[in-house]
Amino acid sequence: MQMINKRRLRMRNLTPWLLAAALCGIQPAVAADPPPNPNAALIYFDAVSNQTLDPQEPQNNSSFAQGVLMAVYDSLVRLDASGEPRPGLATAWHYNEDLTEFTMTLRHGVTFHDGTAFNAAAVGRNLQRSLALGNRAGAATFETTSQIAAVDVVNDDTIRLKLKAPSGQMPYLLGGQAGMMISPAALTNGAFGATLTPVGTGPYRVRSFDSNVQTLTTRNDAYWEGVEGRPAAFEHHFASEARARLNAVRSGQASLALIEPRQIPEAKAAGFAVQVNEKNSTWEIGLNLSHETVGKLKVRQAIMHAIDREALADALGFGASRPTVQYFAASSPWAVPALEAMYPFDPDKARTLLAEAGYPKGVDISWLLLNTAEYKQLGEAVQAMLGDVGIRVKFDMVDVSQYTLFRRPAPGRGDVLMVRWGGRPDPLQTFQEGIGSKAAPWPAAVPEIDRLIDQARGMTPSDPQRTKVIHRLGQLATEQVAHVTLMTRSNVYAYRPGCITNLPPYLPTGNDRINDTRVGMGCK
Amino acid sequence: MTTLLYLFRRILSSIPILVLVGLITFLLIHLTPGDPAAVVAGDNATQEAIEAARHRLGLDQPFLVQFWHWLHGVLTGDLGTSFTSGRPVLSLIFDRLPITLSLTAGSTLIGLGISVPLGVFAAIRRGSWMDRATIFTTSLGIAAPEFFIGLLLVLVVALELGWLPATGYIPFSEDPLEWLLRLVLPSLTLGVGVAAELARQVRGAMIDVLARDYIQTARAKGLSTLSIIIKHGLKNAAIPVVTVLGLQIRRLLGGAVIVEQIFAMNGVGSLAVRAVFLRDLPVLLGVALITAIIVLLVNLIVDMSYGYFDPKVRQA
Amino acid sequence: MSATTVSSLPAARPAVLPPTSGFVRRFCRNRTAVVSLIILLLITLVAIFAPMLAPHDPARSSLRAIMKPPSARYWLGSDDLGRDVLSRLIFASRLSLLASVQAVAIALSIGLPLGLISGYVGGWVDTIIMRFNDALMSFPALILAVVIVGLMGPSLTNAMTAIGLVYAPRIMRVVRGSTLSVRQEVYITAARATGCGDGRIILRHVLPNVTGPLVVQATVLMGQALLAEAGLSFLGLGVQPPEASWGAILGTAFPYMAQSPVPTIAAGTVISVTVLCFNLVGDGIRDSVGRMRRAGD
Repeated sequence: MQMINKRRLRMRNLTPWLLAAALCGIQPAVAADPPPNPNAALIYFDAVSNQTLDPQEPQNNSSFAQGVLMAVYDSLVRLDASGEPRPGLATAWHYNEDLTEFTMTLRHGVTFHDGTAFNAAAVGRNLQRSLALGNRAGAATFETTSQIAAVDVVNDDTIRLKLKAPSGQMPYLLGGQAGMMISPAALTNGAFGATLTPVGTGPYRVRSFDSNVQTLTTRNDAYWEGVEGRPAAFEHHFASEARARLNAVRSGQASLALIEPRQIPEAKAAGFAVQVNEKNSTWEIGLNLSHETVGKLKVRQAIMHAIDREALADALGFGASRPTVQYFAASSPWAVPALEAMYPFDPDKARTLLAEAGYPKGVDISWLLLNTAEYKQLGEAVQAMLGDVGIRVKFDMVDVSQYTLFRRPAPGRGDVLMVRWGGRPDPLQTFQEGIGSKAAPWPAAVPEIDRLIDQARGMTPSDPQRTKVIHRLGQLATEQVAHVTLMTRSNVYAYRPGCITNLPPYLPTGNDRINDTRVGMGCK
Repeated sequence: MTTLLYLFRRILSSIPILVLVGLITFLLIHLTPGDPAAVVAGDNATQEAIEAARHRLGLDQPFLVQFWHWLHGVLTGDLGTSFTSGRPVLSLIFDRLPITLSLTAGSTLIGLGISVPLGVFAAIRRGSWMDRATIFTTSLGIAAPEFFIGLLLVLVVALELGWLPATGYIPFSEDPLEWLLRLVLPSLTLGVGVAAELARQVRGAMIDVLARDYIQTARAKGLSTLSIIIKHGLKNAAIPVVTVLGLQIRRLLGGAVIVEQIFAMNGVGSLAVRAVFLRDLPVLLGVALITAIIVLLVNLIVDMSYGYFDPKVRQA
Repeated sequence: MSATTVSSLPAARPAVLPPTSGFVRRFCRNRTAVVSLIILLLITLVAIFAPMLAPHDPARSSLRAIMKPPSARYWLGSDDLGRDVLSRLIFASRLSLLASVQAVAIALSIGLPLGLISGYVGGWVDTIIMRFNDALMSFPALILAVVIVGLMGPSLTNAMTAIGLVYAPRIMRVVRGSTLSVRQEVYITAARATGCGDGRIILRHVLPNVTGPLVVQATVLMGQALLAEAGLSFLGLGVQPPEASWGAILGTAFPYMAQSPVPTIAAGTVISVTVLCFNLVGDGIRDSVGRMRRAGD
């Protein structure tokens, strides 16, 4: 397919609009969003890349790799912007009495990008494949398949999952990677990861894919939801340098760029539209609890007291971050406000705790650090704080796509790993993937965590008791320092004013969903 | 016929070096701490997979046999497969080679464009303040780290003045003007270093020529200095200049690594750097091999050009 | 052959460094070289006395004072984590200089013996070593260094080892050249004929001849190694945080250049000046050892 010459097309398409406006005597819209340009290309410069386009591949478990995946693959359940399950490729679903069977009715008349029909057999094929992958698949997928005992294709539009134990999570889990449907034709011969041809049912079809560099897609004109106003192409480019991403918008090479919070003043001064999408997202430090040093509770508590979260959020957040010690922002119904007081910044207490843990001369820990300027800056800041109390951090630098090395292959690499945690639609998923024992080759901080996770799983999300269990989990997670949170974060975008419309915060994943984003008419 | 023979002999004498380059690349993998088979098998490998990799790679065979297999692979264009993307290393490198080569070519052109006039003027006005200033600035140009020049250019030209774009690369086929504009700053960054080296050579060669007898004769006959320069001087200067240019290729390819980072270009250099953090050994080794081969090729061409500039060489 | 002893042979003028006083006198006449040497000495002193000279703790980050422009408190401003740039540069000089010394030492320890052997023994040993050398020198220096670091893992030690390996061929060439030119001397043949051991010959006659060009090359190489280390650390392949060399400081300052250009400019200037001084001193030494036989590179 030819390259789209954006500038020429924009000019060409502006004329009929202006003509029409003149003829009808309509004033061109001023304050309202410009009409969408269906011939434009949405070119997005992002801070992460996809190593492969296989939703079940562990690297794609990252909720920041979802943007492209969501554009190419629909999932059975579609989560809306606030994370509520809505019909996707499945139009309806229901549980049996004791939450051990989950039945879905599938949508008619949907085809994959390669023409294969979407039906229950296709869904069955996908789920069987994920089941067979076991823990070779990403954590979210494995969490889903480990709950499934059997998959029954009832008829062409109905599929039933038999669950090993009662679980109310299926609508959430099937709204994520595990529910993304790949064409059965692409699943032949054990295709996985780099060997999978990325064919889905989504609004964009893959034109070319360059691992860890870019994904180029074109609009799927046969999309079951319609194509109204959607750009003719969506391109996802990886540029690790924040400066390069902003420059791409500056020069017109990109329509949209993810920038770092510290670039907000510069971007505004240059006249760009700066959009701050607050997310259910935090900066997290995970700990390998099977290691001797961080396996000790007092060492972990020392870490908590050694970090001055307020200073971090003030200095490095540039207004887009707030300090927190838990997975959830203060405004979230899942947050437990009392926890914030549990670990005040207290270097002396940290040193005492270290001594009590048997390390009066301090302790050495290794930190698996991802290689971007943002990660390195935050990492160095925390390293200095920890160093002050005698926790000597040594960095083990890997590429940003290699965060999976922390946990797999067992026994994992590094004592700690800091990541951006993008949040999950179901808070239980956060606990499952973050601190449950299934997600890592080491046990949970205390067995009660696993017990509570199992308990909550057996309840429906609407059950008020579930909320209580979630709160208890949060309390336990912070008390036992099953993870270390630094601060919340937002996605910050820069684009030329009026060029990008409809990119609201999408809370279920770290990426925002660009499926319905439009490129404005007449923007340069 | 003599030229062909000369060519043939030169190519023949390059072969041992090529083989040695291959050997060195092959030996490099043994610099990896730990078991090469485990590294090659990848991060997610089980013990069986590691043993399978060991057998498949022939690591359980005598060293020379291993090398032979590897060499055979290289000669058929198989440089291995990237650990992370699963793509053949050769095609990964070839995808990015145009970017790095554009940069190298651009730097060479800028280097020549600055150094030749500068060297010539310095030679003509030998001993003057201009000559001394040239010597000093060339010293500076040789000493300053390329990336510092690059950073300064980004700061002043791109950020402060906004004259030129500071990042990215657009293929020539997509937009020739943008391709050119985006190459200016990176090429200037590396070109300054080249110009500094070359200017000295040009100056030295010109001084040499201008002192020769037949030049005095030509001057006595009334020929202008300019035509003397063009007719005799440049041709005389060509050999040392071309020699230094050949050496500069090596430097330019190395410098490309950093310049590509500064200007966020997806060339071979940034491929290598990223491969370090991805622990993608086949890619690293492939880049080393291909760049060495390019250097050898360029030097071969340089050698053969002597035949053009100096007929005496051909008859040797 | 008549019974002559080595000592009664005509007093050869071996190409050793001329009497020190002559060399020093000639060197001091080269003002640029002298100034450069003084600057280098000053930088070395700064490195040695860093704790006393640095106004602040280079590792102390003050998150309330990030990216401040130069002021009375922070002479070169503060970096992106609120650390004093001047103090960081002062302390970084230790790492940068030490790293260069390390790299040159490795290059010497490989290049010197190989060059001596290659030049002295000659024959097919020489041919093989030289071909290997040529092949090694076909790899672009920085790419080879990146690849070696990539294989061994990013760290300062590995970076310096890589740089040392990459530059060893140059040392080898220079040493071989000097060795060759001495080997052909009559008095060497005579010395061997009278039963002088090879080792003694090398020590008494060859090495002194090699020293001159070797010192020049080593000096220039110090500057090159500094540049290479700066480059590798800039890419994140050398020094790892919290340690910092000049190159690492440049590397971390660079993403924030738009908001705060001073740290970038300062680090780059320091590197450039130091490398320039090494080059000029090297030039000066070469010019002062004037009456030396042409040797090697």
